[in-house]
Amino acid sequence: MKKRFLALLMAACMVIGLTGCQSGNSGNGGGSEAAESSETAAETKPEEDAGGAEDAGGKKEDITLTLAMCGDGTTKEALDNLLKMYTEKTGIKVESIFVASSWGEYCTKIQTMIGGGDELDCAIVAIEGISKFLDMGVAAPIDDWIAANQEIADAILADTSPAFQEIFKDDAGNTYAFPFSFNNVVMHFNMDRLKEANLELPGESWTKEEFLSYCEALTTEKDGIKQYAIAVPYGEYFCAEAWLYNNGASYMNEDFTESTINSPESVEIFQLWQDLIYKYGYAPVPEENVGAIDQIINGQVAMGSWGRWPTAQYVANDFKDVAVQYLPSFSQNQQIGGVDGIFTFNSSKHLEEAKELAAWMSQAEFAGAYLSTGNIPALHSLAEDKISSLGIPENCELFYLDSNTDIYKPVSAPPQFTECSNIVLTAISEICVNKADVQATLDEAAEQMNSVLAENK
Amino acid sequence: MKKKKMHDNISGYLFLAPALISFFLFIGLPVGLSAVLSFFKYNLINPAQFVGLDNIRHMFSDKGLLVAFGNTFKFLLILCPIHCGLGLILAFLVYKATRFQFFFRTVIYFPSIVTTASVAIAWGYIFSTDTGVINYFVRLFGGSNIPWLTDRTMVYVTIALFSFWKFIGTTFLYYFIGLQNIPNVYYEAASIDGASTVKTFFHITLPLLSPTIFFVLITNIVSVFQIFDEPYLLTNGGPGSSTKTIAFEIYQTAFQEMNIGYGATISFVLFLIILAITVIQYIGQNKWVVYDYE
Repeated sequence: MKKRFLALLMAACMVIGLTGCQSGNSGNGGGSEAAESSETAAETKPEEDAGGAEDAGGKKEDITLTLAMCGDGTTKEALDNLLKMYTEKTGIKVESIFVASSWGEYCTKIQTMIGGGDELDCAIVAIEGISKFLDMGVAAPIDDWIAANQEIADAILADTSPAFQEIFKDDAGNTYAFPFSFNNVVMHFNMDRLKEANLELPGESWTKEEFLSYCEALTTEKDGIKQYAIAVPYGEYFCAEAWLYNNGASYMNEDFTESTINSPESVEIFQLWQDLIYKYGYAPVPEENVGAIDQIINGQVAMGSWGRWPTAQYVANDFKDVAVQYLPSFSQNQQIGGVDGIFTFNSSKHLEEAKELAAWMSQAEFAGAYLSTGNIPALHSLAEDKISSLGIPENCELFYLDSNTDIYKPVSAPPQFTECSNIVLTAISEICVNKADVQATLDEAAEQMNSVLAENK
Repeated sequence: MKKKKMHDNISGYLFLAPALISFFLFIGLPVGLSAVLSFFKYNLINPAQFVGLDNIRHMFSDKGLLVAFGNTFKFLLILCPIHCGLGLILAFLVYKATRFQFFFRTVIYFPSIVTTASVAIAWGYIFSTDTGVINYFVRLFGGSNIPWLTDRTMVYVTIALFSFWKFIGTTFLYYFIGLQNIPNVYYEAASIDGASTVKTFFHITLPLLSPTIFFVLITNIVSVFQIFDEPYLLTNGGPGSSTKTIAFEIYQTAFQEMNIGYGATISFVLFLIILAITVIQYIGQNKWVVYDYE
């Protein structure tokens, strides 16, 4: 009898133990970011229990805001130091979470965190996710903050591109964030390769013919390994559309209701990429695990089209013989723009404080200290100062020259950005790697995109 | 007597409870939920919206999904024979080896314990067209670059090579244990009767190993249907959509595009396909699997 009782007891303990483990596991799920925000939840809860929100008389010292940033965390230390400054100033603590992924995946992660009930107060959101978050109604407008701090807001708005400001507004005219940083897309050159080919940096209005002659001159062989002229924008939704813009094409129309990826102008550019690889042999066949920025640094390719973000790698690799120029004008020179801003979320329990933090981060004090080698600061005066003081790449003023004008055409970023991005990148891969027929592939892509965009009509 | 039986039953159920609870929480409940979610449009943020059979209807017109099913079946035809066949040959050879058996076992099993993501990145560099180590040697011996990861046919060869190297250890281990469990008396009897190695293999080893072969076959088919790591890490589903598999499609739909309802529909259909194949195999085993040999 005793044995049987013991067996029963042990079995009961095992069951309780197992179910206990399960609840513990589920609480820790979702990686370190989830764990961090759980801690935040734990930290903020006592304050609410002890007398409600801080606006009802709580202390600001008790508030901890959670801020999500996109990046691999290499700038986390710098960010946290700046946020400590903010804490010293305001008494509000800020915890930062870095999500290491592309912008599209980052937005998905933020969506998962909000959906999963993580307490997220602020997050940097790039153009890729803006309409998605506005569409889902998770972002909080900052018009009340602007009205209460008109002078500061006016200073920010006067120094940033009106084209970028529009991106942060909904159809009703509500504003959700200030532009924080942005990128245009320019052609980067390995100047050593240009010197070896006796070439100068091309002029700002260089044409397709000039571009092809540069490609011809820059395709060589060194130590038995082929040295290519150009890397096609593989896996780069943003950079690839910059090429289309310069030929009067785009992935979709301006109200995101219909795909235009199979227009003749668009087909011409996709065909050019395929020809650069297979017809002329000027570009390597793109591969998933080969970084084109590394290739321009080591000289395996001479040209590549990106925004300002490769400068971080240039600096890390002490690569200084680099210059930039606008993309070739196939039919026009239309600069593309992709911008990000600090959003606050409706679900925040400290919405006012979150808006204050977002606004502080959008001003020169924070942006000037945080943004150095990567994105271009959205504040024109700051961009001019930071970019020219870094000194590389040559001709770097292209990054900020027009940054307080409305010259930029934003990259196509509908609420269904991830779906459209997957379709475009698959089409680029089919054309550039699988040598698929360009028109047929783009017709197929347009059909898929139209079915996705149908809900915007 | 009745009370004793009742006590025995309760303790039996209590001992089963941990496994049953785990099964319910981590398998039964998700399968049930995915079946329910199949009828909804849901993005984690906005409330789930009932869409009836829309997701199922969409599935039949989804060309991308059709490609993913085709690619998965290609992987099934390539990887299953490799894992089930070569795993058996390797296990048999190592089992018969009189020297360095420990060394061979370690070498074959070692890749299985290494994180797939880390080695896949290394393999990506090794197979790179212009800068990869393999093509360096190919060029050194006068050949030209092989498009390991940039050709829609060669990419299957590359993934098969990687999959063989990375995962063969598991099937090898199953077979090796299976071989060790075959009673020696059968081999002794065969030896006395003068049976050759080949005859012994086909008339003793294979039939007595059939329960292990059956197990390996089922687990391999299930895992190939769920193949994700290799194409995701080595090719990101490319070139184009050449290596996009069903699991990859589910990941993209549910976790990138946040179309949870449609992702659930695809995963539930995948569950039904795997279930059907397993049931067919289970019924068919009566004809070739030998359990009663001791």
